[in-house]
Amino acid sequence: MIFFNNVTKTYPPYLTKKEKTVLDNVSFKIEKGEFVCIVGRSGAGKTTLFRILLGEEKPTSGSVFFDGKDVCKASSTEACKVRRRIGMIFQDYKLLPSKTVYENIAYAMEVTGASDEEIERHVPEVLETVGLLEEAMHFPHQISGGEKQRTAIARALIHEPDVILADEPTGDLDPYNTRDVLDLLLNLNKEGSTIILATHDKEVVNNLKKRVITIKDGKIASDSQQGKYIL
Amino acid sequence: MQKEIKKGARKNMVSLKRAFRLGWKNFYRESGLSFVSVFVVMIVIVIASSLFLIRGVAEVIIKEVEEKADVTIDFQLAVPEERILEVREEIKEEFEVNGIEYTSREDAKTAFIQRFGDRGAVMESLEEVGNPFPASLNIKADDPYIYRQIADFLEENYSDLVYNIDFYHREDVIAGIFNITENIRKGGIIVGIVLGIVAILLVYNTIKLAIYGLREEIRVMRLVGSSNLFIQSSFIVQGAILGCVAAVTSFLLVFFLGFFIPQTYNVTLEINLREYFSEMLLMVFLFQLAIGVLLGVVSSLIATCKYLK
Repeated sequence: MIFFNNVTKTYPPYLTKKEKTVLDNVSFKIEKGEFVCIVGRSGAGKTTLFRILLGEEKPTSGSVFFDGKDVCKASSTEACKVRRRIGMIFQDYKLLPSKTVYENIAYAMEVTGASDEEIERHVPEVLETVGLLEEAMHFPHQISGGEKQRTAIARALIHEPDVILADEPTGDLDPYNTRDVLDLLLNLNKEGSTIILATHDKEVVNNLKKRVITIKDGKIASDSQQGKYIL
Repeated sequence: MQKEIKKGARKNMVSLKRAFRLGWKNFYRESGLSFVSVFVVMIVIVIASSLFLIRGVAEVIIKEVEEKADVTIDFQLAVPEERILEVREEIKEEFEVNGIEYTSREDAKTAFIQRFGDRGAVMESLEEVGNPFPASLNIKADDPYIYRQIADFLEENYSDLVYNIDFYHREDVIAGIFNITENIRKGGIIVGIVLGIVAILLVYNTIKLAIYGLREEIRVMRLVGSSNLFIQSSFIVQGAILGCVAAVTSFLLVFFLGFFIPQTYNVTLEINLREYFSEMLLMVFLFQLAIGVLLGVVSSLIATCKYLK
């Protein structure tokens, strides 16, 4: 379903006088329905992988395929269509601050052209799934970190994406909320969604007992089924 | 096929409706930024509409002043009316003049009596001498150089008919009047350019502020799969609403300030400023609305385009 083929990403010199290679000839495949942890220290290139998959950045060399389509060569309309099949969850939630919890979630459906009736029917269902029905009319600044992350997850789920990319989703959460978020992701995976979780949280990775791809110095250091955090 | 077209049209209508709803919500929820933006656009609109009004008033003043500059040619008493009218036609054909008014000897006398009829001694003297007034042509033109050309033409060709041309006595005054009006025009252009630059700088800085605020929001919108058109349309609606509100506020401000305008600027020029202002109100509002919406929409376009590439 997802195939990174010899992807290299080099950033031009900025503050330092040297180029910075974040990803160096990275290749791996992810099949439909898999739960994959991408592990690495901060700055290892986990987020860059996601940005390339979403078409936000182009690799310096190599290609990335999503369902057989090269996302690096996709037009802006095609990139839009790919993004609608991917749900994205961020460490800092990235909710729209001027919209309520309900509107943040509904927005992801509005952009796909879903009818008002569909939105009114579907959003409360997802809100119930993530346990936020009562907070629906709150703005992001009125809810806790855990609730913000559950809102972000609900937004990622709303258009029933094929893949969910979770970039350090538990980085800012306490253990209780971390457990909640991981349970949600595991349930989604059981229902057939492909989950790609980028994290540097050892405990999270070891408890999940899922496939682990470890990135070190821009290269894949290991790729093992039911792997462990080895850094 | 027809079903698909219908479906597409319905989808576009839904997107348009949503763009309006999102634009309006963004406008009133981000009240702080909206207030600052409305204020800045309002300043620009007030500057532009002041220029618009001042330009109108200046044009009226310039026209009034220029109309006061004219040249009168007095003919010898014995020259018959038909001859003078022939000269008038020739001047009309040869030169670009705004108007030539013929005053017969009788008309000149009547005008004199109307003016000094209440002065007994003057009227008695007039009875004794008969009609000493010459027939004349009064010429008005846009360019002071035409006056000189006409005067020279008459001197060369009709010196036997012409008794006096008052241009030679008033040449400096006429040139002075045209100089002043020309300077007012040039001054208006310079003031317009300076205020225009101020307006552009104000709007540019507001755009920069808006870009900074929108950067992250646009990124999130794209990540959830929003198309560039959908993102842009809601911000364009927001910009248009902002422009409309700024235009209405500016209009109310200009309307309120209008009460402090003095009735007349100068009695000798006979300009009723308040009347002029009242006549121009609708025009001013439409002008303000156009500028407000244009600024709002263009600002939104520039701000969003930068992050939609």
